[in-house]
Amino acid sequence: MSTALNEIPSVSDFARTFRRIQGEIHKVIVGHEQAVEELLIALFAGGHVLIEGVPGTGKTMLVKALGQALNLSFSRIQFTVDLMPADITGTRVIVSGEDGRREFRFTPGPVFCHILLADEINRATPKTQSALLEAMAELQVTVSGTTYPLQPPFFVMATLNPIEMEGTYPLPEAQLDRFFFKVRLNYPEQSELVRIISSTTGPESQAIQPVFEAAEAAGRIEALKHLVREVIVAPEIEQYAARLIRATVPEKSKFIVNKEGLARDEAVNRYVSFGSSPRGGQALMLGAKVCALLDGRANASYEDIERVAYPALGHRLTLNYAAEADGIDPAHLVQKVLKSVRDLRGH
Amino acid sequence: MSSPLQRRLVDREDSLGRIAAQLVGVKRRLNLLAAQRMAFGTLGLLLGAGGALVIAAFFLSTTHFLMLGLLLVVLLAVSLPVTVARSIRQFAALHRAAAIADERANLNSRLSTLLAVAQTEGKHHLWPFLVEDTVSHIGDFEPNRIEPRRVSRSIYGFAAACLIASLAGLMTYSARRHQEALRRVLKNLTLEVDPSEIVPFDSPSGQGAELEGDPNTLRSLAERLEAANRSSTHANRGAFNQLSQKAQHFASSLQDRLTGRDLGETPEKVKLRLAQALGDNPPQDNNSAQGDASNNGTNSQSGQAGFGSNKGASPDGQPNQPQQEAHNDMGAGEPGNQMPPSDLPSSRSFEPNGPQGPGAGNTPMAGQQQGSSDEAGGQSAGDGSDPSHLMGPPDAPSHNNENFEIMIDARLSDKSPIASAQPYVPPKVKTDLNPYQHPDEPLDRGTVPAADRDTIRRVFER
Repeated sequence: MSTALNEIPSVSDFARTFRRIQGEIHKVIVGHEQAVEELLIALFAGGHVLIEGVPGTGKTMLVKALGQALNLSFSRIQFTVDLMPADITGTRVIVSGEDGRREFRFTPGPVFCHILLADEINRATPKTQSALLEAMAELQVTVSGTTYPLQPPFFVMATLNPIEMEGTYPLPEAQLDRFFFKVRLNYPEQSELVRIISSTTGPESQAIQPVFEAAEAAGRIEALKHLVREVIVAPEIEQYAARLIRATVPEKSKFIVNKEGLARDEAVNRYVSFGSSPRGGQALMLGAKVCALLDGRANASYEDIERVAYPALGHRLTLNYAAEADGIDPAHLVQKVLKSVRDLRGH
Repeated sequence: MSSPLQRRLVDREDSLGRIAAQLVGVKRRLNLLAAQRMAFGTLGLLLGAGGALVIAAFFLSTTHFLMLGLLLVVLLAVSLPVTVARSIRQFAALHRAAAIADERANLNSRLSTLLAVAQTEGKHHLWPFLVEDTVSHIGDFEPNRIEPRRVSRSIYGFAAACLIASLAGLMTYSARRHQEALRRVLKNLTLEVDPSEIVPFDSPSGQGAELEGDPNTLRSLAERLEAANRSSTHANRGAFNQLSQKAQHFASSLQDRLTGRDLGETPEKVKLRLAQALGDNPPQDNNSAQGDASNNGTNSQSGQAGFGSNKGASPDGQPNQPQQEAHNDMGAGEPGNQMPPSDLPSSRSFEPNGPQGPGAGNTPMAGQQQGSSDEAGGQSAGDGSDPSHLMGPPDAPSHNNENFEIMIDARLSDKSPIASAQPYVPPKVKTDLNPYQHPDEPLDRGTVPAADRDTIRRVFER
């Protein structure tokens, strides 16, 4: 891995690798181009993704395909009400040694992998959900006072089923905020549906070819993640991202000291209870950097920021009851925020 | 004016120097346009407003002109600073030129980023890639592609303003020429006036004529006038009204200046000559000439009837005596023979109340004019105004003399070539024509008020 890190790939390498992974995934995932791209952006930016979609739209298939394309270790946890934290992180069990003595030994849980699929994460209790927090944020797991590091890259993809809300536990804002992007899988279009039917009901199915060798996959991916952080950002672009984040915070928020640059859009003030956290700004900037590399550039631009604004900010806006009553979608508010700060661009 | 960063970058001969040099070209082009925008914008505003004001001076009344002037001043006071400030904002430093070039050439902030991190170029791993990547797009941000125009679009507004100003100048020039020509004419103005056109200033047919009526009506009118004067005087005391009057005065004088009406002094003396006195016709032809015109039926022999235009009374140029008799009959107020007032111009001159019929003589003057005495006979044009009773026998009519000339006070009236000009209304002169006289009662010369004597003399001398 260290060898791979020392050899920082070029911008064109990044774009080529990215497109190749994308192509492999689309061998089995029909449509959802934007969702796949956002998923990969989050992966190379070092974040985790929350995938929301109705049943049968290919959420699990997508995660599996990604794992196969990257040739990384992959785990899947089906979250249920009775799932315990130890079922995720692992636990200490009593084992008998060769000498016959019994001792506690840590048995790693499914979280010890590179790619983790947390299927229907909102069905588990908050206690279990929060077991993922430490792993997602700090890449480590603490069990019985002992901390166990996770192997990078560690990428969590959690799925949410938006239609079966009974017996579910909505994710707390703190945990939502830890997801880099929230990706929505919509219903496939007519042509996509035809292709799905024909490709999944025939005798042969497309096999995904791993983009990396198993031994070097983690190192290569880490090198690419490192390259993302090398992308140059002008101060005006950073200012723009910060203004965008400030513009999601309603003026009436009691956690604001200086009200300069707060939401200028009336809809934001009316429907948003809490705006984006600084993590939203980090997500904006890292996502913009990946977009810049994908475009073959070494610098981030305003367009890159706007391109990742919805997946980065949509789930970070806490809407109030008025928004729920009026059926306001977060995407609508993000568009409003973008429009309100567009005139604050560099010149 | 270049920044140290700009100088440092342009002096380089590598890729970064090429980029910086091109960026400086973009900056110069943008600043050139900004300077043009400022110049054309401010000049255009000033010229356009000035031209509009001059044109308005020709077509608007003083009040409307004043209002338009105020509006233009307010508009200029607002728009000039806005235009200048906007133009100043459009002046571009190197960073702003880079941002504009980024946007117009779809460079995705390459130039902005490059300039921003040029100071610390060694710190970034991807810096060489950024420079080479930007150089590969160097053709996209040539000054001609970023800003193809060398002349600002604001020149159109400036040209429109120039057109307005030219039109205004043309109008002013032609108006001044006209005024100068008029002035030259008026310097030695001699008007030929037919005696029949001369009416006394206090004639009922003229402006500023004496009003006559029953005493109650006159009294009521006098009270109303007095009340109106009082309210006007009271209203004029307010500061706002004084200010308004000053503004009106200023606007009026400005309007005069713009339209050329202020050229020189208006000649106050106009020389008038009687047309018949200048002709080569012998004196004996005068009567026939007057009779031919019938015209106006000026009777030079009857003196006082000189103003009594016996129109239609002698269309064939017959001697005037019989006509005068006929006229005297009518003047006697015989109801059966009374002609309609429209057919009797003389009744307009000498019988202000003629249309009211004989019974309408409520005022002493009216009663005096419709005196039906037989002795008054041929002088029934108004016994009461017989100068032989008032001031003795009249002098010989002076207009029979050759080279007769009279000097009168005159001012320009509303016969101005400019339709929008304010008409000049001559001041009214109110001269009482002896209200003490009773019908058929000759007055001694001494009882006529001194102020009236000149008037009466002037009237009857004509």
